[in-house]
Amino acid sequence: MSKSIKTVFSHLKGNRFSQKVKRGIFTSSKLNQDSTDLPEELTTPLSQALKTAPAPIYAPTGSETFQTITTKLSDGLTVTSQPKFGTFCTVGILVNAGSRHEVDYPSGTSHFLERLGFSASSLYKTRDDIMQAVESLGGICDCQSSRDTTIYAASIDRNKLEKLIELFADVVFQPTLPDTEIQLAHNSILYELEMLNKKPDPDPMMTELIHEAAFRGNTVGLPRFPPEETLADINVDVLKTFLRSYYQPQRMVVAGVGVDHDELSKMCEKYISASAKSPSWSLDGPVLQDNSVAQYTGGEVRVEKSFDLSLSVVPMPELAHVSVGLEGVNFTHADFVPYAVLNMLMGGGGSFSAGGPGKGMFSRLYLNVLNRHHWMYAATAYHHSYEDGGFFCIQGSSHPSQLRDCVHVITQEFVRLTQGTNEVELKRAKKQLQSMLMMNLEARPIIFEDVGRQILATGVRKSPLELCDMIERVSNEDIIRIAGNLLSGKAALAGLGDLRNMPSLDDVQSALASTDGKLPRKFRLFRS
Amino acid sequence: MYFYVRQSCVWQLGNRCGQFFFQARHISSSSYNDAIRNVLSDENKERTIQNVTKYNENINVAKKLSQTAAVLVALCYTNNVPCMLLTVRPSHMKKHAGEVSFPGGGMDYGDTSVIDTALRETEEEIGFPKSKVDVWATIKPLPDRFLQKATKAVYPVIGNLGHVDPSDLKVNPNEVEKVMCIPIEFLLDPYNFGTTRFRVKNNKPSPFSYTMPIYFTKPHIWGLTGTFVNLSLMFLIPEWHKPLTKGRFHVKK
Repeated sequence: MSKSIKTVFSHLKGNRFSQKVKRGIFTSSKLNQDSTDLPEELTTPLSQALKTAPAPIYAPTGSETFQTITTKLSDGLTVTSQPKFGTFCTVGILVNAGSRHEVDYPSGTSHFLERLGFSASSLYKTRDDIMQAVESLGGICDCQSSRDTTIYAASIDRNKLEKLIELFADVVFQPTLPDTEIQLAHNSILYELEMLNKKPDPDPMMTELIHEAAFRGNTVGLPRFPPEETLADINVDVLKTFLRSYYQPQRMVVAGVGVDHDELSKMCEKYISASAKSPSWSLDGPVLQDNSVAQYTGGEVRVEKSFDLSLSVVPMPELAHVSVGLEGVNFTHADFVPYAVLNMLMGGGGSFSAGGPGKGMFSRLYLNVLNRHHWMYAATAYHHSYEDGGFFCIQGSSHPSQLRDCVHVITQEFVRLTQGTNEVELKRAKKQLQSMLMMNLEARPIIFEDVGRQILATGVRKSPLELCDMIERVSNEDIIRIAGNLLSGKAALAGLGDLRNMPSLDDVQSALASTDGKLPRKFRLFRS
Repeated sequence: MYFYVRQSCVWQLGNRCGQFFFQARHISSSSYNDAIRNVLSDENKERTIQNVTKYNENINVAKKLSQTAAVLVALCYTNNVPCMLLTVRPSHMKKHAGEVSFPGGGMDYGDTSVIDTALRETEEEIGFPKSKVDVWATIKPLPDRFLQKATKAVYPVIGNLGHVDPSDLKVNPNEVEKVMCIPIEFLLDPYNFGTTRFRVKNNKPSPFSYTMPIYFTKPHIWGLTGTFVNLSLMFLIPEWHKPLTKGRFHVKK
């Protein structure tokens, strides 16, 4: 190597240019010597360490820990954490309590508790005090409840964790539930119900109805948004009994993202376990705990409703909504990932987003339904999955006079699934699912919820890479097989709006069992 | 009680009639294995008939229902293990597609008794001859739905089919998709069943809730069929049958 440098310089030696270069740049006395005496820095190849320089210290490349660590405390509380780089962390408590546990309680109890989350407790007199306290820790907090879980979470500065755990222990286990706050929560839920009824967006109502149709009268079929009548029955005693029955340490998980596990464990033991031993709702009292298993029943639910179309400046289209569902699987089932791929394959959404064939919406419900039938306003596929059951449904919207055709199109799509997919379609669905998974898991609050929910439901967290592997392994045979499983069970049917033209459940059942998915012919005077 | 808790009279009375203690199940216990082996013996048959008679005396069927139906709670020996024989309905059926049930159906004009109905339907559905069925007892009927929605009274008839090989049966594909023989041991294991509480809207002021068993077979056994399985096990093998509680035990898989 040094020879080639010499030859480079020798080429320049006899030049006037080289004289200038030598004088201009290389003015050190070393270089004015003979070219064979080049300094070591120039003659040592880059692949060798310089003898004159100090020995480099390399940063240790240990295995990057994406591992979720889980431990259980002595009172049954599970503590789990996911290491993540950053100044902020997200920590929260997840409780295995939700609207599915309300069979012995007036509907809406857990919704009430969601409104009352982070309100007056023994150390903090009002909700404002709590908000200010969390703000001083550098962040925000929120309480959310769904059908099977209630989550109390906050995102704060990593170094102020201890104060937050103390706050959690107080807010979750020592609420004072004063009458003023209960009244406020009551009013806010009444307002929310009014808004739900007024707004033309059908999704929350339709989700309620299809759950009720699919899981008639049990667990996840119980209403999440309470009807007005039962709200009046909820009082302090009801709330306290619910808390006593379900807010027990063995039903809870404390999850943290971006925190140190040992630190988190110690603080939980110190504050949360201590607080849970003597909560404000007192451990002596009636306990009404329900551990029902969700059972898919199938069935029909119809809600006749006329929407107020005058709410906006532009006249809104008059729509009726219908949802056809079939039994799926729970999220611990081996077939859960194929169902997720199927959901992605069907896809769907509103016709406004369809934008025409060239836009790039390639899921089946866009290609086969929304791009072909201009009168379909929306068609979306959902797979609702819980720890002991699930169902797959397609929700469609159209003008009330074309509701029968709408259902017809949906049943045909269901039956078409048994013919399988082509390679391009399947690959696209799998890639879309993988990329959606990885992209969502870049956000810290979503990692928190993912870790917390998985540990709460199954005790184990499947890492995103594991899930991507499972998604990759889904084949066309899997899709055909699960389509067969779907169509072998009883259907669930839910309708909202003007339902004069909605076919009966029997018709839908025969359509799903037939080879072409067509509804039985009916004599109609006017063909529309 | 300020919550919506009201017990269904029929189910709970049935459970309380079986006032037998529940022993913790020891797999290696010889008395358990003996009990399982003798479930279809003559001795157990006599005892079951006595249990059913005692239960029938204490039960009042609340409402007179217009239609009658009967099912055969079919017990059999498959692979030398005492089992219950159930059928899976095909997906093209208008009612209860894809669900699990016992062979049975509605009473026709020609039937002299509910036992006749049960045996005739069994022969039609799975091709098992009437003459080979050893009928043990008929339990008092249960309504097919709760409260106002009930249309039929369904009589469960306990019968022993003897040695059955499911692959030999000539099933009628219009009415039966497949035949399942579930070992009685499977049905007794608390790991394999759970309970579900249902709440249905009723006339005000309070909705009506009831508890039903669910058995975790491939299609779940639930509903009226699940109740029949539960009742029959209570009569057949009471000392190893865990009574239904209000959904208090949870099976975590």
